Amino acid sequence: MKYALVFLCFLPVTAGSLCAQIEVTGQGSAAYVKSESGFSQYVFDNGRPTFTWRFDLFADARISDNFSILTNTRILQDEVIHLDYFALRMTDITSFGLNAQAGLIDLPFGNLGDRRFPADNPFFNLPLMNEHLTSLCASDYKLWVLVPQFAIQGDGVRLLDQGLYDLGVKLYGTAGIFEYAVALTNGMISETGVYSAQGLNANRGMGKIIRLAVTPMTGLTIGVSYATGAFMDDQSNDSGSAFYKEDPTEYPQHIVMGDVDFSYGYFALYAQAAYNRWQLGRTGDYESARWRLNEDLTAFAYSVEARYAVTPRISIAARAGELLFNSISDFVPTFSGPVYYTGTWDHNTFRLETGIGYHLSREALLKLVYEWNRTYGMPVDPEDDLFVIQTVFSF
Amino acid sequence: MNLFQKLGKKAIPASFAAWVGGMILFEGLMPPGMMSQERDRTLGEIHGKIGISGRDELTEEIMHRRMMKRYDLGESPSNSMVPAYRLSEEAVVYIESAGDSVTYEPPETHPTLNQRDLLFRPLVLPVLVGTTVDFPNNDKVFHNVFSYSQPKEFDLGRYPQGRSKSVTFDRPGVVSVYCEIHQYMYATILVLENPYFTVPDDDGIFILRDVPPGTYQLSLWFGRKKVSTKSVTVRANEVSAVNFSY
Repeated sequence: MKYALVFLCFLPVTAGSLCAQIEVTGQGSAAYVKSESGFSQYVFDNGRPTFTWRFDLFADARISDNFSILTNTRILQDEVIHLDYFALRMTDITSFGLNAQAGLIDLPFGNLGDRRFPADNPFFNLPLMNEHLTSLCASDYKLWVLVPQFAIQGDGVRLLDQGLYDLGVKLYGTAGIFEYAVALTNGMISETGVYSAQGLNANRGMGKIIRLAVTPMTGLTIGVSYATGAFMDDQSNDSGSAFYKEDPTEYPQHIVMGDVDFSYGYFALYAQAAYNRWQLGRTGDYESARWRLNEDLTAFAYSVEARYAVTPRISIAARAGELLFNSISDFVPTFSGPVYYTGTWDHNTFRLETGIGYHLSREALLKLVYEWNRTYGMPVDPEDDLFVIQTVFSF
Repeated sequence: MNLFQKLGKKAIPASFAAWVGGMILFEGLMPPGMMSQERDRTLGEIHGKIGISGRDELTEEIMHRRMMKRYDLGESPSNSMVPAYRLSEEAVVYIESAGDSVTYEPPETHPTLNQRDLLFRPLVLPVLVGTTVDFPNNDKVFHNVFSYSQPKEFDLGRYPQGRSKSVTFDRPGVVSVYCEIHQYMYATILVLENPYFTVPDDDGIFILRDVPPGTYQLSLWFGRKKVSTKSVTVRANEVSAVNFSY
């Protein structure tokens, strides 16, 4: 982060007249959050009524008409500063309008876009598939199925990383009604290489992403994205792991997502559905193989979000999302050794969010959000609903 | 030697002659005190020139943000050559108040605030109170024009290329107009209490005609704000000169 700021500060000096413009915009948000206090990963601050805040700073440097640097810095109430986005962008590098980004790039997967930020997100959280921590750990491959009565078990990978940024390079552009993008990244979409403690490319392999979208009519865009690559990092090759002496890159993630954007008048709809496979199944004879699953772990997820502007200042929104996991029946590696387990490898989950927004001004938004979480396959659904009052200021 | 000979052209014999019609337009300001043409002799005119030497920061900001859009879902970030705003699109000269008791009929024709090249054009649109403004979408993408300004709150929703929606501005004041989708898009609609306003040409020359005699506050709006106000006295059948520099 500090290097980025130093870099931005020096740009005008070093680039001289070439660096004509640096623009800083951002969003600051403060929220009152009260969740229920069940045993669930969705519980916020142990269910205590809590104030929290977040600040997103966007600093862009335009070097020339076709070359620019884009940065996002996210600062949270824990005072951790995340440099999410630091991309060198070159536009129109060919006669047919090809563009490129390199560095810490925005992953071309799905249709989240600006909706990942509080001012454009009518809710408090991102879609469930970007939030839910599964029970699959990328670092040491152990499933937390030992205590299946608790939904809090998950502290593994997400289906999709929250921020959807990673180190790599991407080529993208449009051709008529079509939009295309390809990317090569250090990490994988469920385990990006950004914050790994194992080095810049902790899983050795590269993540590969491709996206195609078509806009057959104004207001309707249909897209499909596919990503594949190793999701387990090198730590999974440690002696305590089920994958000891094996190459984690032989166990990739495959995920395909379809998405639809539709809007007209005062109505907007965003939908996405993803099918994901973490390839873990035994594929050959491994001398060192110990307890390990004989089948892959899959997940299906969807999210449907609708918004309606009731008046110039008031809008309402609702979003439904669900995660469905496949069943396994096998010996499962856990932290206390292998256990035989039958059932879904994580809890199927449904989330319904509703939000109402009131624009105090163009720059200030007040939101009320309520989130219902339902976790299936447990003796008792944990109490983990969430209520949020959030105000967002943009500049 | 006649004109044709000077130009090296042959004169056309009278038998092949045809009628040639047209108009010669002399550009520039009339000297003060000289009316531009036959008009109501009880009214006067204000002529002047606007000199802009400061940077047009608003235009720069809008053009820059347009280019730097970062999450381009369905919209290429390509920097196609979009002309920046001309002076005639971003400056307005107007009389602040022309008398409290007079009300003016709004025009039947609708001025337009275009959405083109992911920009609003013009940047500043002056209208008389009661005027209906059209907002045509000339882009291939949706726009969602809205304003939270006190004189008129509105939200036109999203509509495609070729369609237009209208808003009637029935209270005077400054209306800031935005696009909900493209957050850099910005324009101002000046809803004025009297019809004594004009926009300069691209060289900065303006003419305000048919102004009743009196002493007025004449203001220049440039970009996002009012940048200058000057006192001017208008006399019947005369031209008053006022120049602005910013």
